[in-house]
Amino acid sequence: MSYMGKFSVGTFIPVDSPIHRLDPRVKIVSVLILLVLLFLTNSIVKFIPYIFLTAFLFYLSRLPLKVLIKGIKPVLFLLSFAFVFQIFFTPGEIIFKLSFISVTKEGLNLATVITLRLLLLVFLTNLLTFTTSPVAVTDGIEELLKYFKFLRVPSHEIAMTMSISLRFIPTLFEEADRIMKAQMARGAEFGTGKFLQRIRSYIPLVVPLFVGVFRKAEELAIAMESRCYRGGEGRTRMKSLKLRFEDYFAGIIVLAFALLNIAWGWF
Amino acid sequence: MTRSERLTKVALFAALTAVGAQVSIPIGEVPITLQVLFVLLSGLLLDPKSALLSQIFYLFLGALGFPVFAGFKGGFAHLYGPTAGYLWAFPLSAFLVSYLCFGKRGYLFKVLVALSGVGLIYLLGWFRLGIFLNGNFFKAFQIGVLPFVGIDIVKALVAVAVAEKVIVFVMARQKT
Repeated sequence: MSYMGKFSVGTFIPVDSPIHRLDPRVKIVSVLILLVLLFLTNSIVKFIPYIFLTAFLFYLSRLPLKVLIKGIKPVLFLLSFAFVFQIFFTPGEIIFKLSFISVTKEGLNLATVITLRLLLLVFLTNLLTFTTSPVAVTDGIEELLKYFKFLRVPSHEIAMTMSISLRFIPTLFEEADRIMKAQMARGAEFGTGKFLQRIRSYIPLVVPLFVGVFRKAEELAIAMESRCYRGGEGRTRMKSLKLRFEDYFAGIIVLAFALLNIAWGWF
Repeated sequence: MTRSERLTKVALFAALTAVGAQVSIPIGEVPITLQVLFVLLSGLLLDPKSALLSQIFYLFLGALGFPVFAGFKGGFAHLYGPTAGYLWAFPLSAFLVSYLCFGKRGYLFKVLVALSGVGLIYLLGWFRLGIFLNGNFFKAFQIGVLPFVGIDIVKALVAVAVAEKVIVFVMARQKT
């Protein structure tokens, strides 16, 4: 199945490394802290520590370089788009002019900052999804959201919805593929003919897909209820998350890094 | 609707939006995806709360780095980059469409609502792109709205046609 193969690309890569073994909660919170800091960073010089930290984390994660490069491929368009537009559409001191386009000092500066920020954003979030299995991510989020219980955040429901979603994406791809083939066997043609015809040819694909989803949702709910599902209250886990020494250590390092950077920004 | 039924519906519609974002129709140079169509359909088929939640979860999964956005992309960068406005508009658009026409009838009315849903997506998309181009909203309109809006108006029409058919099937099954 072509779709399913693609979906698994860009997610979890099972290797044994210190980063893989970290508690998902520590990883999620660390990435969040670093993301917020990246948004507050405005000068090129101040990105240098982040570049070193990200490089070091990738080294620790033992991910092959190929994976790293594959990870930026999807955002390459976004990056070049961002770079080109910032460079040409920022007013300021002109340093280079070629007929109707001109490059300004401010433009070049802003373009570099935005590109660096996006690139580091992508690397850091990739680091999280490459080294953490989807199950661990949802478990981590559930545990973290429990701290917001006083705000009545339904942590268990959120995690449950996420895992059902992730579980069903490949299934629905398969279903879409099957419906497409079934309609083709009945003589339907996809992607040929005039413009309106092409769009209309997708109606026999989309209608059964949505009807099927309604049926699936109901069946799943019945299955859950008949197994006495009643939300997160009193529910226990087979594998519960537990913070170990390494997790505290990693957390303290990230916190120290964050505080040092904030201090640097201040003075 | 029970709690678990809402939970499964929200989850499955979020998953379905992810699938719709990957199905591309070869038309002209730029292949178009069914993403906007699926956003409108979750608005047309679900109650307002579920519609909103399903799209929020879709964005949430994408933000965490799962490749659910068009072209098997994912990651927080897409919710910040120049095209982020379109994505942020998905939950709002689904909610608006559902809020205005959930449980109501009338083909023409639904078409108008679906069109306003498309409008909302473009409004936010255009806004974000304009800010990104340092306030050059005219340029943003030229590259971010004009080339695609025609196809998406057609998608709004298709969305209503599909929704009407799906509702007939779902209602028929509920009766038996």
